[in-house]
Amino acid sequence: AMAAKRKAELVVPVEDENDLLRITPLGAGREVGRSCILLQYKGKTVMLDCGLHAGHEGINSLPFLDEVDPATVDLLLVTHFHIDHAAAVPYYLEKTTFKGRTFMTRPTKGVFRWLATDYIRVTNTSNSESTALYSEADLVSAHAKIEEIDVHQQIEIGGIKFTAYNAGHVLGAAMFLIEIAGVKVLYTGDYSREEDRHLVPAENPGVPVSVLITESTYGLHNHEPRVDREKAFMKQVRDVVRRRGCCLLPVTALGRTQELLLILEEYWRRYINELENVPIFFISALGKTGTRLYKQYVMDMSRRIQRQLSKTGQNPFDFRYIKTRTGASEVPETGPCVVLATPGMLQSGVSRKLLERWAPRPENGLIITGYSVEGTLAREINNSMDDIPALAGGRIPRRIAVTNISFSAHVDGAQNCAFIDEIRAPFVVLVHGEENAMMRLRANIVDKYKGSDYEVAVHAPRNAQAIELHFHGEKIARVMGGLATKVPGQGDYAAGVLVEKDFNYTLVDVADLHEFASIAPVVVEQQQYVPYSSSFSLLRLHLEQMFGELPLTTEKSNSGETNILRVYDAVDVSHSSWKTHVEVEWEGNVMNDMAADSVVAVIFNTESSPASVKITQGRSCSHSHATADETEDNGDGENNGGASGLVRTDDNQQIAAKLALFLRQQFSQIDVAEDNSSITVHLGSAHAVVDSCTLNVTSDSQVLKSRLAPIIAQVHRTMRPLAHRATALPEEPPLAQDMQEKDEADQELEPELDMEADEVDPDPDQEEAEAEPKDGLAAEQADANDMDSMAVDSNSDGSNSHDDSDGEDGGTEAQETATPTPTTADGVDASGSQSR
Amino acid sequence: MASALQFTAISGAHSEEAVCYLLEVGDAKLLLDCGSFEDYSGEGLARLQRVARQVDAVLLSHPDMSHLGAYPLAYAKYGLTCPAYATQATHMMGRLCLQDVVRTLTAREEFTQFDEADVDAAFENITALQYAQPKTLPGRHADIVVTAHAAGHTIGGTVWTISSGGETVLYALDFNHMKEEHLNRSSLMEGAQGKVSTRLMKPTLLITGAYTALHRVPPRKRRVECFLDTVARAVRRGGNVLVPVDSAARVLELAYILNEWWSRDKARRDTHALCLLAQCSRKTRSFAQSLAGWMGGGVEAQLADRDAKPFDLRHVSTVQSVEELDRKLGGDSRARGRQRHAVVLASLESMSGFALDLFVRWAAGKKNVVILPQRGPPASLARHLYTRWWDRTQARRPTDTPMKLGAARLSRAHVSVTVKKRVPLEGSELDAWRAQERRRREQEAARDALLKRKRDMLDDDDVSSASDSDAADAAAADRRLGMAAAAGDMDAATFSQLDLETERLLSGQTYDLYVRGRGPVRGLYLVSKSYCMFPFQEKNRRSDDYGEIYDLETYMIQPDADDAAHLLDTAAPDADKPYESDTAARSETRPTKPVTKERRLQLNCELAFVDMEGRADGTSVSNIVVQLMPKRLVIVHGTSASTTALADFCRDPTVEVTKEIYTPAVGEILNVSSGVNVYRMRLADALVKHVPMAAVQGCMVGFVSGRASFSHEDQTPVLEPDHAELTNAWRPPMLVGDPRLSALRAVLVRQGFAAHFDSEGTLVCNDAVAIKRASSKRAKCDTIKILGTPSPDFYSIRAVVYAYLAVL
Repeated sequence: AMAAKRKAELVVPVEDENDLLRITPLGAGREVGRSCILLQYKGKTVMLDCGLHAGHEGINSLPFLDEVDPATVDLLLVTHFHIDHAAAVPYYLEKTTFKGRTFMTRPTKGVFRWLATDYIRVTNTSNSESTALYSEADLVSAHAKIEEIDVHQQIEIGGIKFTAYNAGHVLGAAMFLIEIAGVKVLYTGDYSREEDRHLVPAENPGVPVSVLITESTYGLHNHEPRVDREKAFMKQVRDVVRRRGCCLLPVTALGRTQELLLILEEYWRRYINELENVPIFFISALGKTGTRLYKQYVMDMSRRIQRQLSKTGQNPFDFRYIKTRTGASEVPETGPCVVLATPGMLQSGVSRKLLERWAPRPENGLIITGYSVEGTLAREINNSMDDIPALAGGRIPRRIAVTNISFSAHVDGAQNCAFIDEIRAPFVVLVHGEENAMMRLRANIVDKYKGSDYEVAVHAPRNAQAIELHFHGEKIARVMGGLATKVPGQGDYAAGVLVEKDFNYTLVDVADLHEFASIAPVVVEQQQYVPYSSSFSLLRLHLEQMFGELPLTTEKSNSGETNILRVYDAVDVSHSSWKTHVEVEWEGNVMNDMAADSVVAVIFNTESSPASVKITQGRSCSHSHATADETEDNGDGENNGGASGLVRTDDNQQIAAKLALFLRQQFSQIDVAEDNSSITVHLGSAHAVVDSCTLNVTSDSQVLKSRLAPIIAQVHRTMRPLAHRATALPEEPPLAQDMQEKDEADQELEPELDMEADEVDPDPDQEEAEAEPKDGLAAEQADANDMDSMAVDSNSDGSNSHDDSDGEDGGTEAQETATPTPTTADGVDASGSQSR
Repeated sequence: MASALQFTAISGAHSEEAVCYLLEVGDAKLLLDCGSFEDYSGEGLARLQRVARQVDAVLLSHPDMSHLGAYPLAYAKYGLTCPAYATQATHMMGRLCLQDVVRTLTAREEFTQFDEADVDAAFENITALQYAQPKTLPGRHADIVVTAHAAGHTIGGTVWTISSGGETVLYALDFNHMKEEHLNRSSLMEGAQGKVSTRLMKPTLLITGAYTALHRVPPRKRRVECFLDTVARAVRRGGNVLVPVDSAARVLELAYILNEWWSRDKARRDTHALCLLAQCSRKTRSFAQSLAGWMGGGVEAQLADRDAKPFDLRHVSTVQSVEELDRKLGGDSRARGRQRHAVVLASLESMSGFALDLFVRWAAGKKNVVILPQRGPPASLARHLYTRWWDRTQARRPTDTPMKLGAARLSRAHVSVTVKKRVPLEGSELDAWRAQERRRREQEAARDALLKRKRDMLDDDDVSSASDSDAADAAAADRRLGMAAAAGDMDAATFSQLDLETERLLSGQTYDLYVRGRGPVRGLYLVSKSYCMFPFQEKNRRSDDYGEIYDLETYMIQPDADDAAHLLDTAAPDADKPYESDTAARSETRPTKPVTKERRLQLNCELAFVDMEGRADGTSVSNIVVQLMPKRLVIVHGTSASTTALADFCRDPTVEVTKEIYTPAVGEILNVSSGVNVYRMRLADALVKHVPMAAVQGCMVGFVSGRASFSHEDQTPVLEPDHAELTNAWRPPMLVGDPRLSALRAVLVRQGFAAHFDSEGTLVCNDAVAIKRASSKRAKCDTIKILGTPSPDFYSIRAVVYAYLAVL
């Protein structure tokens, strides 16, 4: 089946970019060090490890992080605390735009904190300040951002599911199984399959894995069995001690060293009678911290350690025979003794000092247990050097016995192949190995399975070289609830709402949406208040002219009669005899919205159309008196509103413009300040200044002030009908008093009023009566709505066109000026991205 | 199809007894907790015995008696040998808790129900999990996944989710919504802004407890203060403080609080010792240290410190017997010339064991104080004292206010206690014991002789004989027998029966040997059968075909193969000594007998109750239940009154958690299946590609329709597009989304609108458009109503609302 799938891959061009799984090593591609592997699939990006290269310095030791925009990385998973896997994490978290989440196992996080501190300290002393990639403060801040994951815990973040599995290697080392949209990728990190004294060996997750990214440090090289190595190690130690020599073990502070300590402790406990007088020292600045950390994380170690703890109640890392010290002051000049000292490659420090002290005597012994980098004394001393260079200068004769026993916990060739065979992933990606070793391993795997039923594609990409694998995930939906009462037969019709969340599909009936997907169907009802003060019969006439015969419902209440017309069986128009507006109500969707818009347009037209004038014998609307000035102003106002499009821009500007419009209709002489901040009203000798921001009125004349107050209140109410709910629509404000006050003011100022003002002013003598529906307020409202109804204009296609054609033009203009705005924005965006 | 769910309370329903429930998911039977208090009696155990053999998996949630007290008993005696699951911390501390109880009981009375070896065996059977580790049950129940989530309350405390098919059962009994000194809050509360975690929301079944439903307590901070205050006052007046605690769970919180408090004040260190008195108190400390990763609160902060020892309890002395405590206090008194007093956290929670020993000693002292940090198991001395304290202090408290905490004196009060202890045998009893012992030895000798004779007979047959040492053979034979016993699943009784038969056989009374074995288990009942057989022993050949003598050692199954593989085997016999010493050894050498004495104690000391149970209080429990929105709710673990109270709260129409609320009685079988149907359907690519999907609330939604078809390979139907249908069918467009106005408001504000809520909950936008939730006339679904005049604001806001919802 696998073969068929891959053949298909060759033939069928990849239709969907999203089906490509990209694996890019940003480090550790055909090299050892700076592990950093990028995984991209279905728009998700996961970074696996982020380490530094020990062979380079400063910025050069970083992986090729430029290959990906850090802001797009969703997740950073770190397998273990070694420098080449984790040391670039603080840099990535603090010095880049990375905003994703970072996970480590609890012990990894705990140990990494102090190992990195030590690393900063060492790099700062050995190099100049400038090469340091981050400071202790950065580390602390980054460390706080790192989250913990327990082994076997499964976490899901935005569709990326990942689980940590034991990897052996060092305390807290994890393999990660990452699942995105059904494709499972297993990244081993550094791993070991041998059970040692304290760690759980790497496990097989036991699920089918699509891609295996595995280390290949040792290529095809095979180790000696661990038990033999341990035996050889103990024999060497015992021999040195028996001949009363000093045994020196150069080690790192954390990691495999603790395994050695466990071996020594156990051996000493067993043969304490013989070894009573042989002290063991562990000399390291981090030694105490390391032991404390290991004690703390015993629950993350093997069952053997845990059983030891639960049997005796004593922590196996509470060493009785090993003395942890920070300096070599207690170490005796002559043996027998055993000393574990840092650093591990004898570059400098305590281990080097002790070596220089002990090198000339043949009864002493040096055991090198770790991996030694080319160029260090630990690597060179093997080659039967007769003398060694002293740090102080000169050379010291070497007679000390040197042994090499590797305790580094990586899988060897055979174990790696066995693991690959166990996992049986169709795609294997090799990382973390030297090129030759990696290629040999690759050839070996390919040869081994050639022609067998397990056809495997082995990749060994270089750094920054992406490999693309095509996966076409099947989409399987869980059908739930009412839809699932019966499994359909061949050819049965099925329909429902498909909900996709984090690559999981659920198919449910509309009625079950809320229950299974927490998504509710929502109805958007809309109700508009359209100013209208004429009779119902007029309204009905106009609506029926437009929409044909309409069903009518009549409701009677104490206040009067409410007539409801239903248009297109969707829009209700309800007219109450005592209200000066019509309520238009409908359930929002594309069709109904259109119908409602046309209804509203008809209502707007009803009162101003010549036909109505004829029928009602009433007056024309106040607009007919607009001067050229006003129209211009009006246009400006519209323009202003139009330019802002659907989003409000300058509120005050708009208010000021509209306020000016209102005031101009009431008072002939007004001056608008240039910045629109205030409007000065002249009425005869009296002046009043209206602040267009706060709408405060300042004036010497109390009379003018009191006259302005209700007008301004009304303006505000018209523009912001809900600002004061007490007086808001649909309730009619108590007008009578206002009117009366206005009357008085008018009378007082009568002699000085000029003609225009008189004309514009609605007749104050008229009683507010149902017989005359068109009072001043309604007119104002109508005006305001006209001015505000830019959107209506565009929607109803100028159906409210009346004698004020200039105003409409303004609206159209506004529309045209408004439209280019987003385009420009796009253009800027596009150019911006191009330049980038 | 969805699984059928059945729930049966085995113990702990309409009562505060230890908890144990049976949940049946399809044909799998899951035992939720397995508790018993240390009296090991009662109906619950009998009911547990009846079902134990049928259980497929056990989930344990807290390391205390109430949740796992009966587990070793059920494992060893009732056949509850199915897989069991607990978090790593519960596993470790739970074993400790039971070891402590077993030692306490065996040191005081004739306790034969089970022993420490049973505890070890039972706990070796437990699979330790991490939080949030989905665990698929083995074998044929692989469709069931159980997951542990942090519960607070105790270290490793667990809220379980059990999911299978479309069902998700949330088993949340004792949880704590608050962060404590050494523990974080429950995962239940990991949602945003202190809300319930969304991943645990909407279970199809929620099983929760009403233990605290009627419990109104002051805030935690005040309780801690009050606790320390009570201790401080007793210390000042030179009295002793007794705090009865469990030995592995809540004790950690109290020890931690006291230790921190102790470290702040040197003065009290001179006069008072802070002690933890339990059978395994040293293990308690050392285990807790190694489990620091499971803690939170203050310990979590310590973990980040380079050289801090998290949870080191520096000022707490661990003592493992009353004599050791006396030595500790007495020793210092000689040195300083003044009597030292002690603040003692003593096991057990119920005030038997050490807590009782000290209570007997200190009850009459006026300066002393007994602080009860929890209410204690029903019918225990602790509960009795709590009730006395309650009657005394809460009489004039208005109901519905938090209870008053703190100390009270019960003037001239007496309390009767039952003191159990073992006393050495004397006089005639000792003689009788010696006689019995002699008989036992003789019997043993006879059996050895028999075995030897049998061996000799075999040896005589063999060509090469005699040369081997008899000792090694005897050992091997013993081991063989031991293995046979294990293989035949014979318990000790059967084995001794076999011995008796053998004896009769030897004496020539009979020639047939009846071996009573266990027949096949059918249903609930054990079918026992006896088989007749001729006493024939197969000859064990001692050399192979080439005359090489078998070395039996070569073929023995090593107890621990991987340990043996190590170069140096870790025997570490000396390491055990300081921790497991006296009790076991002593009972072997000196014959003792348990005696029970009723004593009437003058209660002069102060008595205080400070709620340090670490459980969510009644109000929080009800709030959490409401927020969890379960489809079905089962309420257990609380008195009838509190169970009913919680149920009534949840039934209240203003809350309306769910209509299906059950308060089952013990033994009542509840059918709680939700009947949700589920099946899987493959979606054809051609179908998915052409469905317009709209984003809403982090999901993509779209309307699909098509026809099902089946491929030849498997049973899963494939939904293929149906072109005729797609072109013909017209549906009215539908809007879906989150109808909450607060979420809408956030969107509006983000787009530059002024939007605020007025006093009636209406969202007012730009002071021009009102948006409110309304009940729709037309549909029974959520409705958003937009009101306003025809204005640009209206249309722009409507556009935002449309964009906020998704159109299907």
